[in-house]
Amino acid sequence: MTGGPSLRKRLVLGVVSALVLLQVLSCIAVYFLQQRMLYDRFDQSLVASARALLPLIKHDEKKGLHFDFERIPLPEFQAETGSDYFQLWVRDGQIVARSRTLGESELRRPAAIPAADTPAIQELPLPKNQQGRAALLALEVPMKGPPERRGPPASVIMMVARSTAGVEADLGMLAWTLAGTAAGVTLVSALVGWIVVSGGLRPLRRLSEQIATIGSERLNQPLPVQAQPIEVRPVVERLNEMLVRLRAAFERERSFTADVAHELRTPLAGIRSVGEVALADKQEAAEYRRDLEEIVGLAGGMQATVEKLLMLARMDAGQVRLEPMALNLSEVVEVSLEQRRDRLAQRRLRVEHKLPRDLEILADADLLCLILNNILDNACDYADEGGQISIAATSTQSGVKLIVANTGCTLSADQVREALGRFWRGDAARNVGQGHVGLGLSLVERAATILGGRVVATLPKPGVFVIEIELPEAAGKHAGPESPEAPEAQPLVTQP
Amino acid sequence: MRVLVIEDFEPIRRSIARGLEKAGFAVDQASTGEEGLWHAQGNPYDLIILDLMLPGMDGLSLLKKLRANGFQQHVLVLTARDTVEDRVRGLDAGADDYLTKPFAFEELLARVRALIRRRYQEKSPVIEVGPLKIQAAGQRVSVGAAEIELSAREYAMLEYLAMRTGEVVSRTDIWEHVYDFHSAASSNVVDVFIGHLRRKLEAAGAPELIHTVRGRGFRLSVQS
Repeated sequence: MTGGPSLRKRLVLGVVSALVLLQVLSCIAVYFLQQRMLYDRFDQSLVASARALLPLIKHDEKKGLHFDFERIPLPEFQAETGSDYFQLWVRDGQIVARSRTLGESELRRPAAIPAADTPAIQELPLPKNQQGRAALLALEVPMKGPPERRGPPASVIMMVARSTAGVEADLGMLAWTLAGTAAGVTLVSALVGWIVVSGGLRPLRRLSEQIATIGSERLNQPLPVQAQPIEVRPVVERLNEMLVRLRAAFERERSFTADVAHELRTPLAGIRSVGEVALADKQEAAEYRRDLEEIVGLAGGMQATVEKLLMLARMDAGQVRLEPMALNLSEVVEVSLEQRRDRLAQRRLRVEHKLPRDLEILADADLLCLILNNILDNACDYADEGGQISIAATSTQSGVKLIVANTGCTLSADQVREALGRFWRGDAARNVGQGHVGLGLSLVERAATILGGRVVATLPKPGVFVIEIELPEAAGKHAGPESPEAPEAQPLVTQP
Repeated sequence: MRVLVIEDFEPIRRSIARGLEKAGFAVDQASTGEEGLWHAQGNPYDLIILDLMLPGMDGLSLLKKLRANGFQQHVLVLTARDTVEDRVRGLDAGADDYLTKPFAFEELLARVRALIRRRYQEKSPVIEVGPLKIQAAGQRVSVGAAEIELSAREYAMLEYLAMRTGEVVSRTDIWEHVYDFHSAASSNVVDVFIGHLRRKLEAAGAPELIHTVRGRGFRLSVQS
């Protein structure tokens, strides 16, 4: 299978992306938490160192404010091995003492003086291009000596500084460790995710393989529903329903194709039989003429069948172009009846025609004529000899209802319901209503549907076949039911 | 030979009947299943040509009914339905042959002759009785090298006797197999045609081949 989105890739990508995001956020959180912790500890250590140095600040009458370097307890302030720095100022900025680790350098004087006994932390550059942090303590150092000679206390600021290189190195190591772990976990989870998702999608793959085996010859074998995961069952159920509809459609098509072949083969066989028998032996000219006329008649019947099939095919394919126009229904019916006058006379059929003179409908003329012609052909051929055909029309809320009824119907109510089906005939007799192959009423139904209407065939009482066609009406052109000109619609044929 | 054509489509039914009559067969026609059944059960047809799509009782039902009631006439099914399933259904129901529409009339005729030969257990399309030779395909009759001209009725009668060579065939039997249902002729006319046949065969130099069996009918054979 090529192209198209992959559910597996999408799932794995989604899961891995979410995992990566979680990991990144976690790593960031861990890093900053660790950073804060390390620096808190660092700062506390600085403050502790600063406090440890405070007792070494001396203030007496003899030497004034001074720092007792001899007694420094912390080796980190020693010049050779020291890693820490300290510097002592008085408030006016004068440096009182500096650690030997500073050498000739000085620590940057703080911009702000912290409150007494409240350590402050600040970052500052250190010698040898190091970056560091410093703890600041401000305090008052009282002068030692007899009270009468004791001077004011000295306000001093003690700063203890240390390089943060070590902390930064630790944090760097942490960052790499976190990144490496996250990458490893991402890769492993992608692999595991791929395996798990593949396993999870296996039922879909099996379903896909089952669907691939469905062909036109296996439409009657539904897919097993209970064997599918719960999430997929609704899909399989809908698929099975679709298979049922597809099977019915295939059956209809098979049946239709067989019916078409049958209906065309029979007149073809007639043409061939008549022609071959005529050619088999010498006969009189009149006999040849009769045979040729019969062949022409059969060919005409075939032509009518083919044209009906073609019309149905065009209607099914939506290739019929409509040109709606306002048509006077009464006039159209009269024209259709006039075309069948000979047939009506031949079968001695009485026609009752009750259409309002001013009833108009908006319809395509060709389709309307097709509807009327086929219905009237049906009525002319299937009414009993000497029987009656009645045609009436009435306005409805949605449009116009045309009702054509004929006596002499031998169908049952069930058969009447099937009468609109393609190639359906009440009996297979081809002599009754020569040329009827069971397509006329199908054409009527299809044409009415295209015009936005509908057709219903009923048997309101035994022997009376009624076709009702509802079509949209042209706006504002009808006299209306209150008009004295509009006849009361009596669609049913009365028995003679 | 007598054939029943059961076909509701009039052009086909009439053309088949005409063609078979021209070929020397006596033909009866029926346009519905019920009518066909009535004819088939009431007359000894040599062959029934049966359409399957009939109004009322369809062809398959008619065929099954005939076979169920013990009627053994050969049946040739003629239909537009040509799927394997349709053929199998027809043959399983008791048909002896199956021909789909449209068909060549010559083929239909050949199959009719073959089925009739089969009915009389004649394998060969040429029947020889002593010097007499009957070629059914072309309806040609000869005695030795001499060809004999016979009318359609004479030929039909001779062919029927030849199909049952050595058997005693009653007048009624001959009449029922050579004349159709609507014929006004009676079985007495058989004697007239037998007389014609004897004279023509004798004139062609054949020995006496058609023998009268008193009280029973006629027999075609070399020996009396």
